[in-house]
Order: sequence, then structure tokens, then C-alpha cells
Amino acid sequence: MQNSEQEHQRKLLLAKDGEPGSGSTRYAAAMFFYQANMMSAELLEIYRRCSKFDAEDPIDVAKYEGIDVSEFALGFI
Amino acid sequence: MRDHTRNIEIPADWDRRGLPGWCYHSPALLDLEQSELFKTHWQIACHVSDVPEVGSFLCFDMCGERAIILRDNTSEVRAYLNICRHRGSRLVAKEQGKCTNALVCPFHGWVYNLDGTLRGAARPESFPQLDKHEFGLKSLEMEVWHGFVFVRFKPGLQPSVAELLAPMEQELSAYRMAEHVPTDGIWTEETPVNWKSIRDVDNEGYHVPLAHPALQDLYGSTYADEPYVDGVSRSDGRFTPTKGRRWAVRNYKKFTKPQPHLPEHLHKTWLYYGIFPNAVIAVTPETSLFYQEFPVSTGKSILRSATYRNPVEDRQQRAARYLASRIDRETVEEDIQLTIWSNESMQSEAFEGFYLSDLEYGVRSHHDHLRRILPIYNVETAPDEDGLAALNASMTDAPDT
Ligand code: FES
Ligand SMILES: [Fe+2]
Repeated sequence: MQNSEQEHQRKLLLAKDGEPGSGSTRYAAAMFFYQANMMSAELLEIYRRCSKFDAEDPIDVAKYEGIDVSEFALGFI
Repeated sequence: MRDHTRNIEIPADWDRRGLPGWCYHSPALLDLEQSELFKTHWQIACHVSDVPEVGSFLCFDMCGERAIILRDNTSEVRAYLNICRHRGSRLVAKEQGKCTNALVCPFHGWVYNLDGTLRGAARPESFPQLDKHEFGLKSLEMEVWHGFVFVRFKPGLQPSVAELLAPMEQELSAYRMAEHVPTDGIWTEETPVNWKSIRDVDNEGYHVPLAHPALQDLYGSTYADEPYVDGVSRSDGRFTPTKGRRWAVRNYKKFTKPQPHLPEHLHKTWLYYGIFPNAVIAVTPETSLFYQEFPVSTGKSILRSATYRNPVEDRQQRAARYLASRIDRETVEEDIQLTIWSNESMQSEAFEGFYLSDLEYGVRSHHDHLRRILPIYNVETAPDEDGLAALNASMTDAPDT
């Protein structure tokens, strides 16, 4: 159950940039990973900042600001 | 079959007056009506088909309260207050739509799961640990009746919706309303009258021959009203055998055809059930619909309605439905004018109140229901605004004499 929910949230976290509402979808998924102790508060905050900007890639923004994105940058591959 | 156990007889000797004129423009009374009537009585928010998929939502505002009706991950329809637990922002700003997996507050970004629990606060490190239930969305009392979603903002004296609407059950169940689907969404319009003037017009068919040429053409003198009994009234009109003089009616009568799921006596009938204090569910062979009104201020109200249809319809039925909506639309416009004329009279010092026909006993029965909730309606001359609520409370507590 937990794993399939994580799988689902991963897909949402990677929701395609630019889709209407995708910024908010990615942020909501990021909150899931934060609560599961799998994402830092700093990175979650990047997702929040990007939540109203569907075309913004949070990973890009995070990298630019020097925030560790290690696992998430690869899309969990 | 309709419920024959209801006592719908009109008393031989009844008080033909309406409510005192001051009741239509007293702000203090309006406050009481909003809190003791509208919020404590079941209100129709929408139909389940308005939230067809997981994540579909619809917002419903009334008298300063706001609800969100949402389909959760398990496909259950739920109702919450549309109020963020952080600082009370409107959580969902769009009237209707679909969210993916979670609700995000537009103010600071708190995130809620579709089951209402808090997924997390924005900048979580700035808060102590928050319990996801304690800080979850407040759920709202909700009941689905034949597809219609009812909510209640405050506890009240009405029984469950199923019990309240039991007199409608037998007749309306034939329409399979739970399977109905939306037609053209929720319609709202602001209108410059007190909400009771809208209800007063809708609660009698005495005006039909003069005000509604299309309805007259459709069902003419077969139209009949039954008063409110225990919160429910009923009216019906059976199509007259004439061809119809007006374009929409003539063609409607031509195109409407027996719906196989309906018993024969409902093949050519429009039925209206009033639900105290402010709503109607109506059915035609092609559709089910609700309409309702809410006060905004003493002289301003919101009309709100939506029409649903049989899930499967052919071209002819679609044409019939379109024509029915034309007739209905025309009728609504005519009624809006009547409510304005009626409401105006309440401002005139020369106006001496209603003197109602037996054909308008429905109006009286609605007023009597109101009087039972707020005895202040019995006061003939305008009470002092500041003391109105207290006076009403003292009348409520006073033992019957
Ligand atoms: S009011 Fe909703 S997050 Fe602040
Ligand atoms: Fe009317």
C-alpha cells in the first residue's frame, strides 16, 4: 500500500512542466515526500514557491539555489 | 403514486393574511433567518453527477457559509467547509473543477488530502507537529437523496433528508434521478428582492393563467397546488390535449414521448415538490431540476438552479428537453418580474398586506412553517431592530397559551 502510494506520488511529483495546475500538483506531492521524511524542508519550499508557476521546474530552481536535490533530480530512477 | 396520507385539506376558515410587511425589509430579521432558518435547514448543494470523478469538486456558498462537495479517493462524495484551517482562506476558489490528488490553499499553501485530513502545513519547520485530523477540513453534515446532495451548516430540527422527503419518495423514485447527468451546469442570478417574495410567488399557481402563457398553454387549468405539510409541498400540471398555441409548447408537446421507465400517469406531467424553506425539486419526463433562493440582504437574493437529464436520450428527447428548458426559462423571467412587483409593495405605507385566495393557501402554509421556527413573524408592527432577536427568543421560550 505504502509503496504503491509512493509510486503514485512520484508520478505526480514529476507532473509535466507547463500543464495547467501542475505546479500545485508537484507541490502537493512534495508535501507527501516531506511527511514521509524523504524530502528536505528546503526542497519542499522550492516546490511551494513554484506551485503557482506551472512552467517552472523546481529541480532547476533548487539546483540554481544550491539545494541538495540528489534523489529527486533523477526522478527516482 | 403520490402520498395520500398527507392532510392537504384547506381549512374552511383560515387567516388569509400574509406575513407583516416589515418582515420583508428588516435587517435584524434577516440575520435570524440566515442563522436559524437557512443554516439549520437542509440545503441542496448539487447532484452527485456534478462531481463525477475522483477529485471532482463543486463549491456552494450560502448566507456567508461556504461548502465544498468533493469526490474522494474511494469515490465517496464528501462535504467540507471550504475554509482553510490555517487562517480561514477560501481553500478552493474555483466554482467547479477537478483537483489532482490534493487541495492546496491559495493563501499560504497548506495541503489537504481528499479525505479532508491535513497533508501538511506550508513551511512545516515553522510549526510544531500538526495532527492531520485535528487540523483537517471540517466536514459538513451531508445526505444524498436520489442523487441530490443536501448539506446542513448547523444542526436543526428537521429529520434526515430521507425522512423529510419520504412523501416525495414513491412518486419521484420512478424518475431514476440518481442516474441523471448534468445539462448546462449550475445557474445563478442576483435579483433585487427579499427572498420571501420569491418564495411567495412560487408557492401558488393562482398567477399562472396571467403570468405564464407558456405554462398555461402546456398544462392549463389542470395545474394544482398542495400546501406545505411537514416541510414538503407538491404541485403538478398535466399536459392539456390541445396542440399548443405557442411555438415552444407546440413543439414540446410534439416531441416529448413516453419514457419507458415512468408509469403512464407521469408521461405527460410536470411535477414540483417544494422543500421548506427555500427549494424545489421538479421533474419533467426528460429532466430533474432543483431551484432555490438565498438572501444576500433584505432587498437582494440569489437564485440558483440546475437541470439534469436522463443519461440516455435520443435526438427527439434532446429536442424535447431543449424546448422544456425554453418554457422553463421564460417562466423564470416572468416570475422574477412578479417578485419585484410583490416586493415593492412591502415598502409602501399604504399596503395593507395580502388577502389570499384558497388557491394561495400554499403561501400561507409556508408562512405558518416560518412562524413555527421564528415566532417574531407574528408581530404585526415592526419591532425595534436592536431588540428583535431577544424578543423572538422570549416568544420562543414562552409557553403556549
Ligand atoms: S489560510 Fe490557507 S494556508 Fe494560510
Ligand atoms: Fe410563477
